[in-house]
Amino acid sequence: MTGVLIMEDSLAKFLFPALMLFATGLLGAMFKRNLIIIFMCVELMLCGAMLAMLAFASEYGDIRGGVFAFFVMTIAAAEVAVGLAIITRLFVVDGTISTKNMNTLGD
Amino acid sequence: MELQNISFDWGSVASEAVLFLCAVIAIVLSAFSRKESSIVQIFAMFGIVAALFVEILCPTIGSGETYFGEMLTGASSFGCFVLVCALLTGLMGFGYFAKGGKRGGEFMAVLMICTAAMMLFVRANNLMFAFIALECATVCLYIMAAWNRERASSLEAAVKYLVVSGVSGCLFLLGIAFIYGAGLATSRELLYFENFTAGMGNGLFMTGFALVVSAVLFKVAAFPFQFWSPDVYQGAPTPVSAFFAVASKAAGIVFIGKIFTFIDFSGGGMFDISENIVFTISVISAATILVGNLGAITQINVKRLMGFSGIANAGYLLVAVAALIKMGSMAFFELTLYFYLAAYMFANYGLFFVVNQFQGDDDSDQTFADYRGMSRKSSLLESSLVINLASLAGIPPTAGFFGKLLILIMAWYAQLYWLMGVMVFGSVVSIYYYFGWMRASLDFADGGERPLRETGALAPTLYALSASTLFFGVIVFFLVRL
Repeated sequence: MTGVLIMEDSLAKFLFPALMLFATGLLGAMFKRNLIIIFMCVELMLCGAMLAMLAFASEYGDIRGGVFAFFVMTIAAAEVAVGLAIITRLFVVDGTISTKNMNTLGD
Repeated sequence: MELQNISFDWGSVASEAVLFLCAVIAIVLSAFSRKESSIVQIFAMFGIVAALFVEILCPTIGSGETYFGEMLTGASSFGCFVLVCALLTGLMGFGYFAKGGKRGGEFMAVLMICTAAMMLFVRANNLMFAFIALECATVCLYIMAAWNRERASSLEAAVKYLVVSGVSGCLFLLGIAFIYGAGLATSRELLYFENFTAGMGNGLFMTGFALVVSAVLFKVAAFPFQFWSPDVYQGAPTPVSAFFAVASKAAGIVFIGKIFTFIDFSGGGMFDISENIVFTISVISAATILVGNLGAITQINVKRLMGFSGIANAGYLLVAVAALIKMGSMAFFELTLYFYLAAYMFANYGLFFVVNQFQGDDDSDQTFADYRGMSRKSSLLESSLVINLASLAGIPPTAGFFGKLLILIMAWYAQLYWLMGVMVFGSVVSIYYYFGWMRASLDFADGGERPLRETGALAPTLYALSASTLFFGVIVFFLVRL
């Protein structure tokens, strides 16, 4: 029944996959062990949030959501560049990028 | 907002512009300068001082005007606050890079960009702008946390902050998307802070608002989102830990306070909403105080201890925010907030300067045992440690005591009596672990084998910080005549 409703409403048609993307990313970021995959999940969340914004922007014919998406993409690119550098460096120093082995810090 | 109506008031962002410009020059200079020379660092310090002067002389403070098409409000006291933090972090950087840290010039450049981004974040008048500024500051913080890239501890701290902060950034963005959608559906500009009151009661807006606030609570390490804080403080280089503890936390709290001051809770039907928000913030702050203080009891690693102490202090500041929402007294809130933050800054930097003086470029494994016999090694560091720990524990007549007193007065007028009880209980518990550190340093037995060194600019800085901690509270109380 929900599925039918989603296909009829054009806003929900975009909003539903956006929130699914966000939820997938959140679950992955919480439960995955590999840092690269966790990082990709964070980017997935970013995509989901951005898609939600674009869904509203196209539904109401407002251009600012689309423009803002470009800014967010720039931010995401900077974050990815720094994040991947840190993860690569951790692999060089520690020899692993699994969160299971991250135990340098603590009591 | 028509495009031709947007005025480009570059004068209103002069201080941030000075910082960005000096950062770019510092990066170019350090590409050409000799390896490990501190010339670029000295240049950068002058840049920060220049920005501080511009900020003090800046005519936009408290003017209530908006700039750049209502994107920015006028400067607040936070600009000066975060610039002083950057200055102190830079000074600590001299000690850090003298004992083995690398790439000091670039560090200062990143620090300046981060500072400017935080200033813009707190001046934002629009959520989209706030998000861009916040993420700019956050990316700089990732870089700074990972600065000691030869050590696993620093990289691990950076990775933890990267993941947690990335998730919180996404929550912020989703919140903006919801608020944007609610604004479009009701034909209101809800992304601007001054229109938040109109959105209250709208389900989509409230969801987005809750997401934005919880994303900022991530940054200040409040209760459900506090787990990253001790790890990051422990692993990051000491000057960066100090910057995290003071500037990053202060930016989040000031931002939360700012968005709540824009909401008018006095209108019809707003009472229930404000009661619910006050209750939620009160529960979060009580839980934050308890988690921070109880978690710190078992710690013997001093930087982890500071991490838990930072969580507890975020809890105290949230008490002030809850009281603000309940009574809506702006002027008294600003006084309390900035007084408490200043006291917190003096005490934290006073302590982190001491932590930074132990030799070896990795401070992530410093424990109480390293501090044994310290009073014989250096009376300067010892007295700074004792005075500033007393301030954090809230012992009169230090500034920390008056800061807590102001927050308690606010909570009293807002009739949040049970929250006052939690706060007093937290402060009493905190005396135990702060004094445990103090006791270790006053122990005359030998034990601390780690070499300790006093460097050039250290003594005047520590005198200034300790004197501020001791007398700031008394002086301000006499000036304001409370």
